[in-house]
Amino acid sequence: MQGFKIMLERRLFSDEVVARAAHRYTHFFGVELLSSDIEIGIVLTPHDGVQIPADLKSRFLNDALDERLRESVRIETADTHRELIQAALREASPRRAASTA
Amino acid sequence: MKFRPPQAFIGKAETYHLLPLRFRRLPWDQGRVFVSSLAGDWLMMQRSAFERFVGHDLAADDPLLADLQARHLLVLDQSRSSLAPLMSQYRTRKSYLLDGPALHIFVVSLRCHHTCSYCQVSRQQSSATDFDMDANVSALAVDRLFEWPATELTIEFQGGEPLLHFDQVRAITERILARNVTEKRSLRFVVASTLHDLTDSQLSFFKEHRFKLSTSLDGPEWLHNANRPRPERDSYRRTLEGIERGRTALGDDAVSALTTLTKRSLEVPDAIIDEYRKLGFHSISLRPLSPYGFAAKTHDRKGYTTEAFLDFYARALNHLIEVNRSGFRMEETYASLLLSQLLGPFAHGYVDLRSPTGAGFGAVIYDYDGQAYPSDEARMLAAMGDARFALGRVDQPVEQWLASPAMKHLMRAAVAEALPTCSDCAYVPLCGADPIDHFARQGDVVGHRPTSDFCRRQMGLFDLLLQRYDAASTQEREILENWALRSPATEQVEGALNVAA
Repeated sequence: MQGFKIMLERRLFSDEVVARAAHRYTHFFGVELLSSDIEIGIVLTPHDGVQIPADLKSRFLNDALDERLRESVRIETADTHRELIQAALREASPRRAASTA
Repeated sequence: MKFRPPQAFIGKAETYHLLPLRFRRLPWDQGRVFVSSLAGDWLMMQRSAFERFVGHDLAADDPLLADLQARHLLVLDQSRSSLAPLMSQYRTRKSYLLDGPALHIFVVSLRCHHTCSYCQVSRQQSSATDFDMDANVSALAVDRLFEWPATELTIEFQGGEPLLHFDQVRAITERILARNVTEKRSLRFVVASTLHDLTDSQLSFFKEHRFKLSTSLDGPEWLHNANRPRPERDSYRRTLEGIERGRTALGDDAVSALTTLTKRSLEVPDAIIDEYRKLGFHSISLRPLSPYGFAAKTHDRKGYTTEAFLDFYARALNHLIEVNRSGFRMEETYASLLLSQLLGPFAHGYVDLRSPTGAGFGAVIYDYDGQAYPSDEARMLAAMGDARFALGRVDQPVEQWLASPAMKHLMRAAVAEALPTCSDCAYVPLCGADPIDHFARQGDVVGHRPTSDFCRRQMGLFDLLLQRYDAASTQEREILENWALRSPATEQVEGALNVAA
């Protein structure tokens, strides 16, 4: 069956955002990532027996927008995230290692 | 006295900082999102407002800011705010990390008098005593038990049918009790049994040591007998007699039951629940089939898709809520567990829904032949010919088990927050990693979430409960909150869930 192509503006969506969004479709589709200087996109080729839903494009765009938000959160909070977990679980570090340190 | 206008006190909140968070569009309302904090606090909000929040476009007088701050999704002024409560909350959620394995399962025999087609264990004929745990193995297993640091230990006897080798149940219990005179741990004993052929002597022993009994009851007589055949076709009658004898001797609360769902079960959620109600059970566990043992061989005939299970579960949940509305208190144990994570701050004792995984970190299985495993599923895989998750033998110290290739293999995929797709999932603070299940189903401990039955089931159940809670009346909310927050039941629930009768 023919693939379904969706292209996005590269200045709006990073490679990682599109790859993460595309990964969510790997249950029902073969996924090909496309990339040029100004565009990035995917071709979704349905597995045998899978029908392409009528709203596939809008679903993917929603997912891409959500992944873009997740990327924003990740960029802003990555350091805090790591420091919080390390601080919270400090007491779970091995006692033996701590006593010989 | 003259007051300044409100504008004198507020401005655009340029200084707020995001804290680590995850979100999910609600499947039943694409205009809203479920947003969770690092420690599992959450709220639901309009997606448009969420986008403004992430983009730092919320005005300082937006009432959402207070909600978001209270749930540790943002911090307004880092110089005047403490993150200690968030860390404390996170530590509380993960407190099971500090104790080591608390659930210790002794498989005293593989013998069983049933021939259940969905059996997840490699049962043996009831005369096959070669599959009994011997005295040397049991003594060494008890030595290993006390090498773990947990101050509270649950000792569960399992089979096959453990009562077919009751002498070893008694010997292990007495050895543990003798050792505990100096160890002074808090002990809880459970036996997972059909309860057929219970003797007065056994009941007396169980009463003396305050055992809990867990059995399997699959629903009405026709369904139970079809699922759990005996040559005499009287499994249901014998189970009911065992439940009654157990209740009479030990008290109603000492006997719990679990349902294993076959394809036939999915057609009759109301009948299964009504059977439990008729018998006076206040909890029910609706367990889907596992991909192990005989269940794997009969999957095409007895099995079903995760979507079919979720459809069944939604109907069962509606019926259960109706049963509660009619005045009979009854909970579904897995719903109670998930709701306790959604609505409460505490860690739970259920080993299959932890991150890091409960396999080896929360539970240890001592098999009849002296082999030790990090989970019952690992034991089942070994019985199917793949022993890669075997920790070692009972004559080795547990330090060697923890350094085993099996644990290293498990640890590659033990932390849900670090797994592909899970790392972004809004439910991950409330969920867990199950690397052995993923290995069994997908051949890889990390697994592929878009095709993972475990993930679809977890997401489906969280969505279902959240949607039900979101739309519930006050009375229905109280019912669901009672399931989540009644602590004695929660303890019993976890015990029931951890038992595979």
